Amino acid sequence: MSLRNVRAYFWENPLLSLGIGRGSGTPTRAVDGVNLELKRGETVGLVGESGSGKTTLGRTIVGLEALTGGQILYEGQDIANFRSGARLRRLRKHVQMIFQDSQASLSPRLRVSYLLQEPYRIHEVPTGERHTVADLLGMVDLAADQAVKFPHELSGGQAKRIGIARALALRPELVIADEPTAGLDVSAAASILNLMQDLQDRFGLTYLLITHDLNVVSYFADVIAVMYLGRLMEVGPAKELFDAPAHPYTRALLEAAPDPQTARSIRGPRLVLSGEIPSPRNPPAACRFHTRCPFVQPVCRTRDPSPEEVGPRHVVMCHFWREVLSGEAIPSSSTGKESTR
Amino acid sequence: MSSAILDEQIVRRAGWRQSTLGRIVGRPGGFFGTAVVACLLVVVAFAGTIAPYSAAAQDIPARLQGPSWHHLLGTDQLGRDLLSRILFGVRIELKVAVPAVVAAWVFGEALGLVAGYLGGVVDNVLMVVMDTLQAFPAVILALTLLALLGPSLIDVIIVIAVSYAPGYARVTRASVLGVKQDTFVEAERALGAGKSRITFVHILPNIMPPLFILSAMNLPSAIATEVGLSFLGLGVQPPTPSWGVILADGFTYVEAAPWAVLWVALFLMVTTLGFTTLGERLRDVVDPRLAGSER
Amino acid sequence: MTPGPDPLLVVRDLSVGYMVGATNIAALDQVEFDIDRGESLGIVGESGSGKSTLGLTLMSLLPRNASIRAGAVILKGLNLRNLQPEDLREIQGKEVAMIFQDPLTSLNPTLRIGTQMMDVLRAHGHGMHQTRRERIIRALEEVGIPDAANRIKRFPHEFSGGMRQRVMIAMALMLEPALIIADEPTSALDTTLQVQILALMKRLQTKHGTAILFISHDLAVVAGVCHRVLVMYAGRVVEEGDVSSVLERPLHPYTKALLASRPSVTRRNERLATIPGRVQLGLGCAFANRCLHAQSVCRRQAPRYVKVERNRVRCHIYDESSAYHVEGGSPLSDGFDV
Repeated sequence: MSLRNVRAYFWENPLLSLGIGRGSGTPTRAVDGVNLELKRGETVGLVGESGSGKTTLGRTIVGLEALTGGQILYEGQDIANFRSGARLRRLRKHVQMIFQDSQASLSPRLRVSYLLQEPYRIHEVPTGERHTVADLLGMVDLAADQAVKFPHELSGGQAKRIGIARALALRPELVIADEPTAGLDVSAAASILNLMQDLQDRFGLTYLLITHDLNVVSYFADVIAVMYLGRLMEVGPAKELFDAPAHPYTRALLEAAPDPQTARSIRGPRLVLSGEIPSPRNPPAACRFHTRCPFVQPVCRTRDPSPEEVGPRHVVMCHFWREVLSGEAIPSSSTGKESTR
Repeated sequence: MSSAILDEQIVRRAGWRQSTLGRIVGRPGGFFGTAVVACLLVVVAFAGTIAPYSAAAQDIPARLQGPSWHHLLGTDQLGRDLLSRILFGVRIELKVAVPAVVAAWVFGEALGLVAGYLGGVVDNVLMVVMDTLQAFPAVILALTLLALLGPSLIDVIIVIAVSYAPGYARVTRASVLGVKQDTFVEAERALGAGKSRITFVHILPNIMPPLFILSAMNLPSAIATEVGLSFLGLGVQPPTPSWGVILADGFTYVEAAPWAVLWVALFLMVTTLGFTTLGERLRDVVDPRLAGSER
Repeated sequence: MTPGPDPLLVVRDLSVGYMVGATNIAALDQVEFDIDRGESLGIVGESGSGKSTLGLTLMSLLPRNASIRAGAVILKGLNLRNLQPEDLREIQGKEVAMIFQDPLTSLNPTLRIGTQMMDVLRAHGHGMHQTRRERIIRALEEVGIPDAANRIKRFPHEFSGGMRQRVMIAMALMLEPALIIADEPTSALDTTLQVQILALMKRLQTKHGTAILFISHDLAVVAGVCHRVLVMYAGRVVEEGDVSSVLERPLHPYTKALLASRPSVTRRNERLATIPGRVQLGLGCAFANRCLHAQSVCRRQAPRYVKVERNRVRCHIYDESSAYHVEGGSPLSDGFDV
């Protein structure tokens, strides 16, 4: 799948609810020009803070949000403008989503067995081609007796597995996982991640993993895409990003990810971002990250960096990525903070 | 993780009292309400057997008597046994109130679903219509409609249904709007479910509870409305023993023989209390968040 | 235990249970530890481990259906169990303050920030309006909220998540308590904000000398803030020690499993360990049904606290007097077998 200059804006306009008039005023630019390639069988980790637009991007791909501009090419076709029911429906068989709050994503008054067969009913899949409920439960390592339960009777881990099973029922090719470990205990999260990896090996799935925690993504992502205020700051092979991040934001995210080992040796990261992510309604001018960048220079406030190639399939949007990479960049005291200790 | 295990242990050890039925009947309000409703249902079924006399049997020499061994509640102006008339009247009341409320529910809910899910222009138009209907004082509405349709049982049912439908439409619409945003609706959309599927399979079952409770509360008002209309002579006509008719008859002789008025008032009060307390208990059990303080 | 001779908080043999219907559910079982003045202790456990219950107990905030079954909680020499409600209320907020996980629900959405903070000060009888106002502004500035004088007129929803948590910290610090209990204060925040809040807490702790009880499900987060850590499982303390030794040389099988099941950027290529089974309480060690090294004594008898170097463990493996060794169990050599 290819995303080209994808944009999703939201307007606040009460008239829109009446079906009259078009958007006007300042929109919230949740996704503002994203270019990304998803190769078959790969796992792409989409990371960023809350408010970076990553969830919106995921939802746009699945069709839950309307696209404002750009193209989403799937198997050669631009699916961005699939408005008609039939084409959208067929697409749904190939692209599925696992929601952050799995328990809430299950219809409360229906039993698990009914919910798992929903996708087949919706798409009118003949009985011969369906997986049985027991099959689906087995795929996610759940016993068949879970089928009679209602969603509120499931634990967090079980609900997540049911969400995965339901998403896989139609044998999709692309699965978008929104914060797959949110709300789960450490041990439950570990089994879910293991499960996801096993399923990927078994069915040849392509994942888009959306999360704010780099630890989660480090487990089996092949490619990492770092998103900030609607744009991708850095995209590249996971190994390269983890070992040698080129963008200051990537570096900050890496150092913020809690880790027993680094906590031990350093007792605190060296790079602490100050402030919080600005509102997508009012993104900073030029380089969006300049308000929080510890290496900010005057040019960052006036000229928007364009994507530059660091290596094969590795792109970064920063004026000074070479200095960041080589370690020559020195934090300026006005925005970035060095933590003592 | 372990909280799920704890839940299982709790459920296994809990007794009957924890079941839904137990919780409704377990508390004084619920018990009283259920008892009243149960009695009413028994009367509806067996009025013929229970009532000592028929509703129409006249006994002029015995007219306007107070309670006695022959006539436990006394007699009306034509010597008819009040107890029997009131018991048969239960049938009339429920025969009017129940279909009226059910009709209001069905139509109101349908309109609410359409307005809530489709939104936009449809929603606005429907809500304007509902608001207009609700803006009329119920009595005026009733009088107008009955003047047009002529007084009879069926017409009373229609009138009551029409006046209650907007309430159901509003509650339904509000619930639909709330549920529409929920994650599971999004999840179904992501799976490819169409609007009608989402509305009927997923949204509908989740909005039922407030409507049940609304009905439980509407029944006594429907009964009261019927009594009022019949009292005014606009509904059921004498000699059919609707409580309103009995009340109207008794009203003429209230100074000499207030029995009819007294007993009808008492029965009406108990019936209303019964349904209302049952409805409140149902509400507490079904959705504890709506309750004042759950004990 | 490493704390000094006059600890701020002493907890001994604490057992707390919840009544649900007619059943008693044990939430804490024989918990004991000390906290020194100015020290920060981390409590690590998964959901159901009792860590939140512990925090609530120390704050005397247990819900009506829960009670302390046994044991003592002694703060500055006072046994909290013996105090009257009025005295407890004096202590709440003044000696011990709590910071919760979700600042959105912990702050009253209908009151301005300034008003809420004022209420806290007024409840503990602090000076006049003007001095209170100054105190509030100073507290907000200290936690890094710019333009505090104007911000106090705002409502909670006008603040972002990270800001709200800072307000919570300011509220907790205002009365200069001796102990702050933080229950998952950063779990609702992004990692970048988490780092900020943790750095802030460390700084404030050094400056004010406040002791911190940091409750979290993430050992790594606790490692960045605390001197010592307690690992809890099913209401019991299973391991206790200073942070670096617990992380580098975990003793209890559960601690080892917990560390091995965390995905980590630095250990990306290792398969995550998972812990089989579910929590099951029985007569013996709570972890017995999921422990790879369990022997039959583990299922029969609850292990005692045993000192290992400077740490403590509740596990038969380290208990030389236990029947564990007789039954053929051998001391763990290294690592956790997956």
